[in-house]
Amino acid sequence: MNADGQLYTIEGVAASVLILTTVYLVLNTTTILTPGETHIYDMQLEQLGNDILGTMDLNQIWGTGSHKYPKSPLEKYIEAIDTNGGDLFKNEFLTLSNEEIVGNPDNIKFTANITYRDGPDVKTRFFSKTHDYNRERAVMVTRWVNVDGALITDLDDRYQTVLLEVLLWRD
Amino acid sequence: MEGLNDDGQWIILMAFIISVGIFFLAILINQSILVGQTTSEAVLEFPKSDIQDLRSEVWVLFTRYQDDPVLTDIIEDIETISLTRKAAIVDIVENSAGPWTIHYNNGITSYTESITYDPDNDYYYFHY
Amino acid sequence: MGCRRARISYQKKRRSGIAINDSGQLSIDFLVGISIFVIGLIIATTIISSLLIGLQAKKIDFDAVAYRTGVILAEDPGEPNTQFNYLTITEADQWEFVGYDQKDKVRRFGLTLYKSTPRVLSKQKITSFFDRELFPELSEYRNRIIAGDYPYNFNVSLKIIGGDSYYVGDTYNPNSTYGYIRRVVLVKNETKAEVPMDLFYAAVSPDTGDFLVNLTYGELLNQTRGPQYWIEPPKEDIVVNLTKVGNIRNLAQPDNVTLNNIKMTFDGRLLDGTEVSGIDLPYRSFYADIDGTLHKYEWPWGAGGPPGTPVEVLEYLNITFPAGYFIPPSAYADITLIQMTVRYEFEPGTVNLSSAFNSYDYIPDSTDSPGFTPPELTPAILEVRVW
Repeated sequence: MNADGQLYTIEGVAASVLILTTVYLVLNTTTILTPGETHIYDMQLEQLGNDILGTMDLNQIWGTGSHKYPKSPLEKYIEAIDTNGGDLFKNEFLTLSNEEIVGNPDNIKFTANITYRDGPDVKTRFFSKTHDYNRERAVMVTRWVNVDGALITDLDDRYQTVLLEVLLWRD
Repeated sequence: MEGLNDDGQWIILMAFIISVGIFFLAILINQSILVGQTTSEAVLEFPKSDIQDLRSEVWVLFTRYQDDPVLTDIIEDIETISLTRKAAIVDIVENSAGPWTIHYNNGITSYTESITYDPDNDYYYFHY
Repeated sequence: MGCRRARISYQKKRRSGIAINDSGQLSIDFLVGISIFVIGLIIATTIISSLLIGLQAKKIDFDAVAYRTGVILAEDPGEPNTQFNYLTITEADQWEFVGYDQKDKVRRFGLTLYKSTPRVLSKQKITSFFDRELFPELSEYRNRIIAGDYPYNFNVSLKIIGGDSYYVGDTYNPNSTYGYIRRVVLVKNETKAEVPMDLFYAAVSPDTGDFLVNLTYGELLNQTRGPQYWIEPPKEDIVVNLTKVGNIRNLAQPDNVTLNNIKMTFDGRLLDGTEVSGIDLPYRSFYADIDGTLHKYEWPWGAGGPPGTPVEVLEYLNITFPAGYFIPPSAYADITLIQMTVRYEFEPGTVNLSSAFNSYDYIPDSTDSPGFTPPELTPAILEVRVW
């Protein structure tokens, strides 16, 4: 039997295996979430969070009578932190964050703290949350809020500016 | 060595060239990932919201506490909290009859704004 | 016979290079070669798998373009846009008032009031932006909100919470990949005054029975309030509704309320220092809704014809001055010194009770202006999709 043709067969088989394997690897990549891709989601979520805090920090109308800058809803919620301010904040935040024009509502969760200054120290106090944070991929958005410390326990009895920090994530 | 028959080796050679070409194309496509990564990193890194928030807060402080001694404490609040929690140096220079200045620096981005004051009309150019 | 066999066997040996023989063993050469090849293939596989992660570049680009468009719409006032302390503005200084003929002057769209008020949008800019009669081609949008040569498809939608929805652009398929950004913004609404006429008087004869509504720009552009809360007549809708007109105080009976004319007069100081007061200047026409019928009033006020025809008013007299109506009539006038007055000329009253109460000052939060509704900020959602 003449086995000369087996030379070409084997060369051919090897060549086709090489090409097919290459093409298969190139085209069949699995969708691995890379750092580059998740930054986009972080950016969208951070922009949304900042927008919502900014929207809540402007009062709907100037209010009657002449007075200095009207209190925004955010300021009122933080000043009511000892009573129901946290719940009011949560309701409004979730309404604004989960609303979409078409399609299903979004699903955003958060925890919020306020940070205040006490002499030379900077202290933090819990404000509001939907769920406890458990290592999901999250972004932090902040807002300066000017409040009357006399209405809040633990804070100095003066007008002061606190930092509201909200950690946001999607499930 | 003269017994080796190299008749079919051109097949392997072609296959090798083609696969090298495919790898090269894959590298080119892969470079495009950097496009998205750099764009979104640059966006996340620039403190646009921090600066807008700071300007808005300075405006609120101006309307509420201009010429009020409590303003010094409030500015101290912002500067201290910003340094510890946001890793940014903020300096607000207030003035009862002169320009206000805002400095912000978070190590990567630096922002300075001077809000001019018109003494003839007692008017501050906060809005533009 | 012996020689021939030896020759054949020699030829056979020369031709078979790989030397596959029936004993079931491949030659060493072949084994070495194939092993090297397979090892090389494994190394190549390892390298490839790290190179090819994340072949989703197209989607990342769309997200970046959508983000940029979102920022342009939600945080920029557009170009051209006047600075707030303008001395004078014409329609061409403000992109939302540039008409169809001059729309090339619009360099960039942007929906906010001013640069210093990001995320607070102007109602008139929203109306002009979504006006397909003004900008019928999608390429006109593409040049002005999505910069660059690549012809992206886009869709911009705005929904005012508790109000209207608007959209512009191609329809998108919810299941395909597109770049997306969602912004939460505030929309500033119009200012309204519902003037209860049973508290006011019309001037008595021989005067023309005036009732005045004064818009003093210096008071409306209140610096302490800032652009989010102040009232800016040149750029916003101004609504003046007179209600209970039949009960104007010094007119005897409801049927006697006859409206002769409505005029716009102008007080102010021109840049050359000339003070002008109460003069009629050529000005834009407007429509008044009197008890459900629209009447048009145009310059010259009351010079014969329908605007000069007396109209009986029983209940209400509503006028909505659209944004851009109160752009001052002459150039070179300091905006804060201008006062525009809407002068309603009723059939004069007969009883002289008090002439001091025949004017209504259109300023917020004053005891002199009952029924005033200052502008409200309503939340809205802006979504941008690019693919």
